[in-house]
Amino acid sequence: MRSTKLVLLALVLCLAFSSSALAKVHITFWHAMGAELGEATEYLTQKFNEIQDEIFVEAIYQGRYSDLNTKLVASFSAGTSPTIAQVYENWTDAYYRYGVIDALEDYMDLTEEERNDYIEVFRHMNTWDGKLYTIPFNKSNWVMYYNKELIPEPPKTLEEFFQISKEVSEKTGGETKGFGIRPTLELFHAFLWLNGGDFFDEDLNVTFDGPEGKKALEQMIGMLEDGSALLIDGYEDGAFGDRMIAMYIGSSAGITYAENSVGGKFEFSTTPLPAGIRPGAPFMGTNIALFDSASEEEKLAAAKFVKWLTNAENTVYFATKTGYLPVTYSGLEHPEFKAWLEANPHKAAIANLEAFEYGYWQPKIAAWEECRGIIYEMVTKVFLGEDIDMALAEGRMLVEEAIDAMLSERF
Amino acid sequence: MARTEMLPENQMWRYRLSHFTKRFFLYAVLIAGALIMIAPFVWMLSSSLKAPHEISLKYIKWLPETPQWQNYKIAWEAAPFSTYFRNSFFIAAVCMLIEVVFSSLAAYAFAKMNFFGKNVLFVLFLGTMMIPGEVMLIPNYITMVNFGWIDTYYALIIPWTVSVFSIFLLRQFFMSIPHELFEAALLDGCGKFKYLITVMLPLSKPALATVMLFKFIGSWNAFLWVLIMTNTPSMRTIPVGLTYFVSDVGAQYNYLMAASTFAMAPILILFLLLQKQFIQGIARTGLKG
Repeated sequence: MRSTKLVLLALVLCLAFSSSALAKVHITFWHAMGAELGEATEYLTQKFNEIQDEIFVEAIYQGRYSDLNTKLVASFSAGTSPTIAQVYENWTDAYYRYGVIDALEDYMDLTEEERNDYIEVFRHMNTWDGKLYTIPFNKSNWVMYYNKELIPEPPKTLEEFFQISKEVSEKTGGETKGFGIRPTLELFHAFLWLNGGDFFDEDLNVTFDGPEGKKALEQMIGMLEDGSALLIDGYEDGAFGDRMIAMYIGSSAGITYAENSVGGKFEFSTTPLPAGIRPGAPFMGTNIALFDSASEEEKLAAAKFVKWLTNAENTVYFATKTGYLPVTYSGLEHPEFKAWLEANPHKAAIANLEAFEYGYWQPKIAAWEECRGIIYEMVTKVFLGEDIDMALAEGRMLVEEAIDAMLSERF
Repeated sequence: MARTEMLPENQMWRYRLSHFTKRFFLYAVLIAGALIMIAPFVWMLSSSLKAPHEISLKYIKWLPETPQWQNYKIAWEAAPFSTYFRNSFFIAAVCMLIEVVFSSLAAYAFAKMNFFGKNVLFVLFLGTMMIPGEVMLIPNYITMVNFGWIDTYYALIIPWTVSVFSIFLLRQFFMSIPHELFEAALLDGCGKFKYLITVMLPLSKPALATVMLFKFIGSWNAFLWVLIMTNTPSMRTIPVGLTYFVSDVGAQYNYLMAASTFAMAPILILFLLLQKQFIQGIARTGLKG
């Protein structure tokens, strides 16, 4: 008798628990945000879980971006994909070709106004097939960091920039070089863009080996040769904080690192990149993608979360905690964000509205991961003394091979 | 001593001088080597106590202005390190113990037994060492998913309990122990298994210590496998925690160095403990007598 009662009680309990579990839709969010960035991400996720009781979001840190990509690719074949994850545009292109992601926009129920609230340059970066496949989340732009003591008035044009770099080096007897050069793909891209070039044309023909690319490399090498720049190994903020360099180009998301490295020894600020033949503001950072392995219910829940995550209040919270940008116009206009900018004048360039007008970004194609590696190696070779023409010709050949492979393979 | 006493006065003086010079250079080289080896560790320790702006300087600064002891606290709290430590210890210790058992049995068979296809099998074993781990990551992940082992200790331990490298190392060591000893023991009525336990293994302490140390370090440092096979912090290990301090746009070196210091301390202790084994128990000495 007693045991029957117990069994009944257990059954009732089971039912009660399973129904309460059913009530909440569980979604997983894989991200690569460590340290303070991770805290801000976790905070927003927890807040979302607290303010409503239909959806539970589990945010899972999956290491650095490269680890996250590896894990995502592994999960596609094993059928263990998360509901949503942070992705770079070139990953999105690959995933789109594999057919493993769904357009988030289809589930978000955006009004025209809400859709247009996402900053235009980010919309471009996130569009496939005319749809916002992914939604911008942690976007940054690259700005010029400069030492205000040595450079009271930052350069507006490339010419002024070369001039000031040289002057700083001469004035300090080479103790502080004008500019810090880290031979990265991003820095090459900046010089390439400002000289009017880019990696590819619209039909994916290689163009970086043209006169603009050659000029970009010559300018960078020239700055090292005439002593106005210092070659840097590692993150630039350290050398900047130790007054080894007076300017560098870096991500807005790195501003907290710069603050730490400077440690109040001098005043510094940020400004948009100096204009060459044309102005330019590189935009980077990741977006959120929705995976098609999730159920319809989960997809809708995830879309709700992403919409909430990028609303004005939350995008501003994330931006002010991390140095990333608000992803919407309403975020940029938000009084809290404006107040934050006023309190942090050295961060002004981060939200320079003009920059959004002439923003550029890295190619959003599946083969970009491979091309990046090739171009990075090419730039490094030039810095190690290889002939520029030869390096460019070799780089072009290898990148073309990678692009051909991408286009001919049906993934 | 005996030789020097027999030498005439002036020759002895010359002998001492050359002996001294040799020693002097030997020690100079050793000290220089030791300094080079220890410098990164000293730098790690000193950086772990620095303020962020003291880290990347034009000139190496060996001592922080004011030691920032709170770096350790901040680093420890940045990620669930106590859980990570527990996991790292558990996984490394279990992997190490199981592996020693499997490897010594397999190596014993390869070294001392005769069976059909022994050499082919051994070459096949070695062949698996040529395949880089990254290539097998995704197939292995799928296997683990099919076993239902994702986010469990099984995935973190069982695939790592057999190491071809250890089998190879132990086999080579076992082969250097004279076969006559094996035959004599068998003649005296010692079983094959008993021979392994009572003779082979005690004679192979240095090799066993090496194998154990390699396994422990390998397991302790394993990063990508752990990250891919787990989802919850409660299953993760120290190296995953270390990635918290590095991002695409910058690194918090002072915290990273503090975390690295407490992450490597157990390895250092284990090495000091096992180091004795490297010196002790050299197999051939028992036979020379």
